[in-house]
Amino acid sequence: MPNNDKKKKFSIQELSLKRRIWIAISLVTLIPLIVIIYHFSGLYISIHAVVAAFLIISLGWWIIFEVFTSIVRVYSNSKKTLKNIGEDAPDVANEVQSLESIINILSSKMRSGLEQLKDFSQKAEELNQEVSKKVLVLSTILQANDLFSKELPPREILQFLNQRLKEIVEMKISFCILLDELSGKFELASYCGIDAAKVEEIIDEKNSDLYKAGRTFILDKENKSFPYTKLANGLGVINMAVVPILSRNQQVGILVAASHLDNFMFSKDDLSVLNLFSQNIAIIWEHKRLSHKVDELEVFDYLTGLYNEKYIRKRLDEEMIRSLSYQRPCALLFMEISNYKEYQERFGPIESEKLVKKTAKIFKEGLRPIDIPGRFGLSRLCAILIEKNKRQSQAIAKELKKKIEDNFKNQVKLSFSVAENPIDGVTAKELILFAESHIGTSQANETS
Amino acid sequence: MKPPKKVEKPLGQILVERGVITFEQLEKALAVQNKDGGLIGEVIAKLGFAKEDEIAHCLSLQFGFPYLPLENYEVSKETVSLVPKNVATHYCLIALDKIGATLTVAIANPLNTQAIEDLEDLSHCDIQVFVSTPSDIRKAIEKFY
Repeated sequence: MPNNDKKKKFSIQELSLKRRIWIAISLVTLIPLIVIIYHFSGLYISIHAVVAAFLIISLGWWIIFEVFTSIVRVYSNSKKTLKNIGEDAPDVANEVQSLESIINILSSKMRSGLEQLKDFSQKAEELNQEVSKKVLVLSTILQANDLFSKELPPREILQFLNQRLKEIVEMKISFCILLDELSGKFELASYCGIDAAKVEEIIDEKNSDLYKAGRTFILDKENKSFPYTKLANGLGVINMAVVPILSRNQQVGILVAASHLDNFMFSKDDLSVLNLFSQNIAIIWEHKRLSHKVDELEVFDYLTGLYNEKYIRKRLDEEMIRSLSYQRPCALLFMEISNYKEYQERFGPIESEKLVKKTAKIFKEGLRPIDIPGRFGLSRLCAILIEKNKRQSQAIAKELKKKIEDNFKNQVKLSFSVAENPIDGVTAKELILFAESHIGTSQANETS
Repeated sequence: MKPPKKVEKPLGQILVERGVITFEQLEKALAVQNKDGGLIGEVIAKLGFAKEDEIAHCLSLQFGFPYLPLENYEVSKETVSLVPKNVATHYCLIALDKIGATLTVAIANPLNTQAIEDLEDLSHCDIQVFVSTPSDIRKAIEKFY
């Protein structure tokens, strides 16, 4: 390799054209001149010197020939290249002039090609951004659905959507205001990039039209006819999009995205992202509303099939009114699996649920059909004992306790309490409070 | 003195058996009670089928509970407070006297054995029962509590 490098270093091919021409001219002119001067000065020139001079002159001419041949070769190659790209070579006899024109054509072509390439790469980049934005939007919606199926509280999902919306449409602020069905008021449901108190203040300004308009409002470089400039000023922004959240053709809230960038304009894509998010928020709102309804309508406990706590509270109130009207007592019995935690640690959650289920079955079987059994917590059962006073209820409780504990061969420990209307309270709340605070402390527990 | 008999028979039925009211009147009174609530004795009196003291007399004669008109009866606050007001109102009764381990009460419905049991549990006393009219007892409750 070093030899090759050495060879290359002294190779005439490696030299520039100018240098080669200089060498060739030197060889062709200098040597004959030396020979002529030598000859006219009367000195003897041997035949060998003449031959050597002739060879050196030939070498010079050969170098000149090589230089021109290489130019012609470059010219011919350039012509071919020009032909390949569909351009005609200029009709000039002088190859050097022609080559100059060809180079000009090729360089201008190359320039335009480079510009095109730049354009393409820019477009590809834009396309990539658009695709990644769409992927982000879709993945956000999928993630929101996933959180939804994991039964995360709606507020957390909305907060997640607001956060993502702010990132996707590159806004400073994003928040949504939703109708609270219980209070009938529009309330701040989630927010990002702004202080909650600030938004609350804006809601207080009673922009009620904003929640009824049913259409999108935009404030940016192009759209200046925005009816809620006061709202924008309040938020300290100059760009704002207010998208309605519609559920069953009724506006249930607004989704707001805002920024303070100069010369900003909401793109069609931005608005379609906002609409997509508002549709998803509407689904969450509707789901929340239906869940509330289902909860309100549900009266049975999912595990035991007994009445749930909400129903027991309501029913106890009714029974107490009835018992007062008929001057009869009414009792509330609480029965707690007192070693439930240990049982759960020992046998696991599935077996523990089975235990509660079976206990509930025996508990219900031990009561009269007119009594109202329920579940009042993880391991606590209860019953409204119609027209039973404390003494009678304690007897029932003792019997039930024995029956259940015997059934589980004393692996289960129960404790109970009894509260009676009118002795221990005159409202359901008082009776429940009494029973809860006396569970496991009544005399009946000790004697059993 | 304990209640002479513990009877589970409804008051309405006893009144019909004693001829204080007719069966039809009882049915009507029960229908009103189902609709508006209230104690059967009070409903009957309200409908005008029998007077409150007639009903009280009937209970007294049938079951041996002594009848006590409360109009001019004075009760000490100390005795009254042995039974909480909500219990007295609920069962329509009032404590009259306490001698030793015996608490004397006047009650509108002496057949309400559960009320008597509750009183026993509350006061840890034996309960001696007098019959009185509901309106007299309510007036006494208002007066002495």
